[in-house]
Amino acid sequence: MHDNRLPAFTRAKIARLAEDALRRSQTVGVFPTPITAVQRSLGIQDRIDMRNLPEALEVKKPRIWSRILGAYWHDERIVFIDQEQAEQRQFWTDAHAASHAMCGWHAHILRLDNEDTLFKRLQPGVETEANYGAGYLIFQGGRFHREALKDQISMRTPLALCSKYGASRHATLHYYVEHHPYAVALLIAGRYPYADGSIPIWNSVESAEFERRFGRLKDRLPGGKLRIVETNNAPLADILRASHDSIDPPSKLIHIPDSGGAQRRFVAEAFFNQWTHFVLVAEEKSTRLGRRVRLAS
Amino acid sequence: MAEALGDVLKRARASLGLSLRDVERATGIRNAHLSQIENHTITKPEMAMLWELAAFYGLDYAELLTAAGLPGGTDETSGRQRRRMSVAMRAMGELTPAQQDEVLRYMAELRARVRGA
Repeated sequence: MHDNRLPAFTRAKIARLAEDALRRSQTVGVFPTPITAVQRSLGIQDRIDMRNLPEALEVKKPRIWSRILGAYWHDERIVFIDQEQAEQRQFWTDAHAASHAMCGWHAHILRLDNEDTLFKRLQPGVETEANYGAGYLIFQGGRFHREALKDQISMRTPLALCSKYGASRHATLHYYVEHHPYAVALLIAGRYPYADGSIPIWNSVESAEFERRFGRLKDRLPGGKLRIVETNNAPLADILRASHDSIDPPSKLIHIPDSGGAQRRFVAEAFFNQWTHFVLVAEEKSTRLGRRVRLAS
Repeated sequence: MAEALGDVLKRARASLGLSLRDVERATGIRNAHLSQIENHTITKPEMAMLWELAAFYGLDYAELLTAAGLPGGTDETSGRQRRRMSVAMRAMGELTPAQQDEVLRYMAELRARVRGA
């Protein structure tokens, strides 16, 4: 199991809370999810713009203020948000705050002293839960996949749907793969190569089915490295480089061994958003399902 | 010495006259899992599970955290007297405790200004 995958009970509990919040705010099936309506239904009373400060306080702001993207103050039911950040990032930050408000136990954890060992141990879990809840509120649980699964299993599908859901391409690709019923996986990697021609892998995301049969995708790469410079052991380098010049994800066939050692055929696709490389792999036989998707150039 | 989590939960369930299956039906927590918690096989259950059990049995969540070896964040347990604010922050990069304090103080001032306006 992933370190960042939540236990089943917690996932189900957060999903229930999110469904309640969507129903109470009458936003079920409305996309992008009207997140401020969800926040209001959760009792959030104020939303303070962190960049538009009263004059008297502007001069007193801490030097690190610009590094804060957002915050949620449980006891006061206030969201602080940087309204100058990109719209999709702001949307995610708002959903993340709503998720903290939904998970009543977060207030108790957050009351712990930040220097406590305990707080440091629990904080990553709290953040993972808030991210899970944020994803649920934005993509409205299985509703996203009910739509996505009508189309081909491909990177093109989440890339075509992200604007409808108000989410970034990054968040949509991640959600698409993490909750996909078939064997699909995603690598999220940096832009600049190391001296050995590989790029830093920031995250390896797998659907439950992929993980059950193949383990972590990053562990299936030659030497555990994602190479962008073409060498003998760089099966994805050509599509990674081609993705720099194409909006439509370049693809190729690759083989990935399953846990029994049998080689399985996968379609690998690459996408580059000027900062981050994404590689999605899907079992070849499953990619024949669904409607073809074309991305506008 | 504080009572162990399993004992607290077992006592709470018994006082309500409920079986493990009754609790499973009401909370969605599998009876086998709950049994393992009550028998100390599982000593640190999920935070959300403790929350559910606290609500169902009418127990204090902080006390359950304490019983699970996760002190509930009262001033006494940490030994510090710093003012606590239940604020979740998203920041670019990690903030030092001193930076967090500075931001929290400023947020309190901002809140007072906005609410007072």
